[in-house]
Amino acid sequence: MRELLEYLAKELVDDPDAVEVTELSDDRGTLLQLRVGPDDMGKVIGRGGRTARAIRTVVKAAALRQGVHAAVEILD
Amino acid sequence: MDREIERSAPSVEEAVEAALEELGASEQEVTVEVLQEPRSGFLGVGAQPAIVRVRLRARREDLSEDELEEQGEVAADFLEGLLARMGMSADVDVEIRDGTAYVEIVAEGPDEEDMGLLIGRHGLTLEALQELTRVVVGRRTGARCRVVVDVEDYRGRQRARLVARAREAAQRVARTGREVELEPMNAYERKVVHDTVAEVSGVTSSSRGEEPERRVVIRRRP
Repeated sequence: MRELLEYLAKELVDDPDAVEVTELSDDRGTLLQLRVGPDDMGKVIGRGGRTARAIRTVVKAAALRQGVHAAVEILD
Repeated sequence: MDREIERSAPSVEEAVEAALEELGASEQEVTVEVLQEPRSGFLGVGAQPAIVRVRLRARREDLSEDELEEQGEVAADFLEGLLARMGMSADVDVEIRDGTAYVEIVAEGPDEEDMGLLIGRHGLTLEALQELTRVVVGRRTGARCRVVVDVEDYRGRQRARLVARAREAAQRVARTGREVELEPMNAYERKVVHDTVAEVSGVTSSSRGEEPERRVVIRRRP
């Protein structure tokens, strides 16, 4: 899932080298924290949060396939 | 290629809206001509509806075959990379048709579960894939994205189901004379319904309500 989120973010931003994903897991599930370059925040969020919502939906589908619960947090 | 239609409604605004819906166009893409101003009359005597003629201008950003193929390829590459990272083995087919690049994800083996996962409840995951693809294609090509993403012909099957239901409802209205209001739908779905109802004689359709509660109403033609 981490690899998937990294891939999605890198496809969307201007500065792929600044993309960073941290994975935190506990018994309730996995939390993926996404960091991108300051100028790329808007790219991963999108108009009205549409892009961020789409990223979360796809990551959740991937998590469901592995039978785990996952959430994505975008950090600034 | 210009397309034009005429519509009547109690107000100019409603007539234009009905026409835009039928054309599947936005206000920026059309020229509107008011053929008749509405009049309310007195106690309904002498009342007349607004009639407008709406012409869809050729879209300036229509893409060439090469540009469409490029968009299809960018979309397919992106989706293949995504599927690989989801651990799914699936093929991505590109077909250029009617000024659109159709990109379809098809299971390689009999893997119904993975494809269902990519579609999601009420097609929500498919819409997410569509949204991400739209952004990626727009960034890479600098043009407006003309890619439609599908999984195992989900959109085609949904459309066929909608057409069948709309036809059945229209035939019932023609038979009984009683109007039928369908459930809320998005603009694309309403257009599919209007097109279907138009093929059934003796009935007419319009939309009422505000998004996202906007619904199609089918009535017997007066």
